[in-house]
Parts: sequence; C-alpha cells; structure tokens
Amino acid sequence: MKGFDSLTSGLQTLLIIGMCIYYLFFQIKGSSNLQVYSTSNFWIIITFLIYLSGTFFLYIMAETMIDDKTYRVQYTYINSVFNILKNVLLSIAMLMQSSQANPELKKNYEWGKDYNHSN
Amino acid sequence: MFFLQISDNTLGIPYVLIFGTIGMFVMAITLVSVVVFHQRRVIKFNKQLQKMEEERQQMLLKASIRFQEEERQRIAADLHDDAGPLLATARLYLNENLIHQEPAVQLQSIFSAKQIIDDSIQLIRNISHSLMPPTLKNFGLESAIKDLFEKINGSGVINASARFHDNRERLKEEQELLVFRVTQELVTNIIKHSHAGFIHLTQNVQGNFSYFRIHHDGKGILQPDFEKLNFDSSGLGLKNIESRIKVLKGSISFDIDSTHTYYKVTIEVPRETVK
Repeated sequence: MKGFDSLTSGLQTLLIIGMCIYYLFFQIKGSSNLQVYSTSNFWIIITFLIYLSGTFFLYIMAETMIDDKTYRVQYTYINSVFNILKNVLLSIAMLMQSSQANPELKKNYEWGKDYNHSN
Repeated sequence: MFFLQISDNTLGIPYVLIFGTIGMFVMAITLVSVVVFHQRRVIKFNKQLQKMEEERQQMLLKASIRFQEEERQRIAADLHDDAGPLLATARLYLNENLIHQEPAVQLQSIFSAKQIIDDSIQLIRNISHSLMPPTLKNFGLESAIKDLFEKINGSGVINASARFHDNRERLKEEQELLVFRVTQELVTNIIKHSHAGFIHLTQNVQGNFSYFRIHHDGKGILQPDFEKLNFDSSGLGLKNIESRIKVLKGSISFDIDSTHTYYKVTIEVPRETVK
C-alpha cells in the first residue's frame, strides 16, 4: 500500500459525492410523479454516495497510516462492510433495470408500485 | 485532509477513523432520506391537487348536464303550456262543424284561428330566439351585445352601454355565442344581485387575445368570492360561466378598481377569427 495517494483519492471522492448531491438536488426540484426510488439511477447514485462517504476517511488516512496495525484491522472491517453494502445496492439497481426491461417483470414491478402507493 | 494526515498520530487513529466514517455515513443516509421523504410529500401533494382538479371537472360536467336538462325542460314547458293550447284552440275554431255554420260565423272563426296561429308563430319565434339570438348569428357579437344592452336600457332602471374598440375581425361563431352567453349571465347577475346604477362593457384586442370588461357600480364580487360561490353554491349560473370560459380556453377575473367605486369583470379570450 506504499505510494497510496490520499490527496487525489480524497478529492475524487469529494467530487463524486458533490455530483451525487447535485443529482439528488435535482430530484427534489423536479416535479415528476415517479417515485425516485423506483428508478435504477437513484440506486446507483446512492451506492456511490454511501460507499464513498463510508470510505472517505479510510482513504484520506491511508497514505500516512498504512503501517499502523490498528488502522490495518479497521481498514479491513470498514472496507469490507461498505463493499458488501455497495454490492447489495448495485444489485438492487440492476434488479430495477432488468424489471423495467422485462415486460412480465415490469408488470409485477408496477403492481408492487401500486401496492406501495395504496399503503 | 491535510489536517487529518498530520494530527491522526496525536488524536488516535481509531476515534478519528470510526467517528469520521460513522459521521459521513449518517450524513449520506440523512441526505437520501430527506430526498425520498420530500419527494413522497411532493407526490402526495400533486395527487391531492390532481384529485381536486378531477372533482372540479366532475362538478362542472354535472352542472353543464343539469343546465342542459333544465333548458330542455324549459323549452318543453314553453311548447307544452303555450304553443300546445294555442294550436288546440285554433283547431277548435277550425273543427268539422265549421262547414255547417253561417258564412259570417265561418269567417269569424277563420279570422280567430288565423290570429291564434299568428300568436303561435310569434311564440315559437321567441323560443327560437332565446336559444340563438338572430342578431348574433346575422350581425355578430357587437350588434348582439349592443342589442342586449339597449333592451336593458329600455327598462329605464339601469343605464347600460357597450363599446367595442377593435372588432374589425369577427370571432368564430362558437366563440361569439359563448362570449355572448357569459356576458348575458354576468349582466343578469349584476341586474339581479348588485343593485347597480350603470353597466358598461368595453371590448379590446391585445395580441392574440380579446378582452371584454364589464364595469358596474353596484355590489359586486371579487375573485375569491367567485371561487367560493362557484364551489359552494348549488346555483348553475357561475358554474356555467366557468365551464364556458374553459371551453373558450380563456380566463375570467373579478376585481374592484383602486378607488373601490366600480367592480370589474374581465374576460380574456384567445382569438380565433373567421378566415
């Protein structure tokens, strides 16, 4: 892990988080009647947002702390947890995509949507 | 970031890292929750608006159907109660026994029957005129409105006048009829409820819109009153005005002038002129 560039990694994370916030801001501004969480874009965006928010401190400290044993343990735990979360969220996004593409699945998906609305 | 890289040895890595990570995660989750809840609220609000609009449309539709039914009943009553007896009486004068009567009596009966038939013709003409004013059809909106105002003026109770500033191009026949009906309804309401001393109508054109403004010095209504009455009252007049304005794709506004002396009703109609 020697040579890990925390500065560029941190800046990149902040940039992507900023763009995610920009997307969410536009979701608030828009007056579409479509539920935001019924689109795959939203799940992809929150995957980025949550994963990068969770690992932000991990990466900005990596350059100087990599030799520290406690840090290494924490790195493994935190990174694994957010990795799993990221994969789960991306899977949801992909499921959304496929249910929207497949008409039969779309029917169920829309039924689910109505069911959710009625509740 | 630079600060964290320098200070992490002194502050202790576990705390900075754990609290920093938890803080960022909580912030991200909060942000997402805010977006989702806000959007849900917006959608709920939009649905409520949509529902209200649907209810309003439904109400207007019902009002227009009711109005049609009432109009039919009125025409049926006019025909049954006025034209029917007149024609029946004329038939009595011209019964089979007429040929056995004296010539003088025959002549008298024929003359009476002719008079009754003339009355019937006049009556049917009046019914037909109330359905579609001939002045409007033949000479246009300006003449029809001026004719209406002259009739009102003739009563001597209210001073009514109309002035058209730009009526070089006539509106389409359907538009003219709708504007005439709305004006008629408004004027009737003013006469009935406002106790006005004068009514003045002006017409203007601006761009693609025709504006009809009615001023009067009685007790009028303002826009909120119109909306309230339109929603609450069981009367058909205002609902008909609104549904006709909707058909015209125009708008109507009720206000009062700055000196609080005159009430104004302005009708805005997109122009569809006769080619």
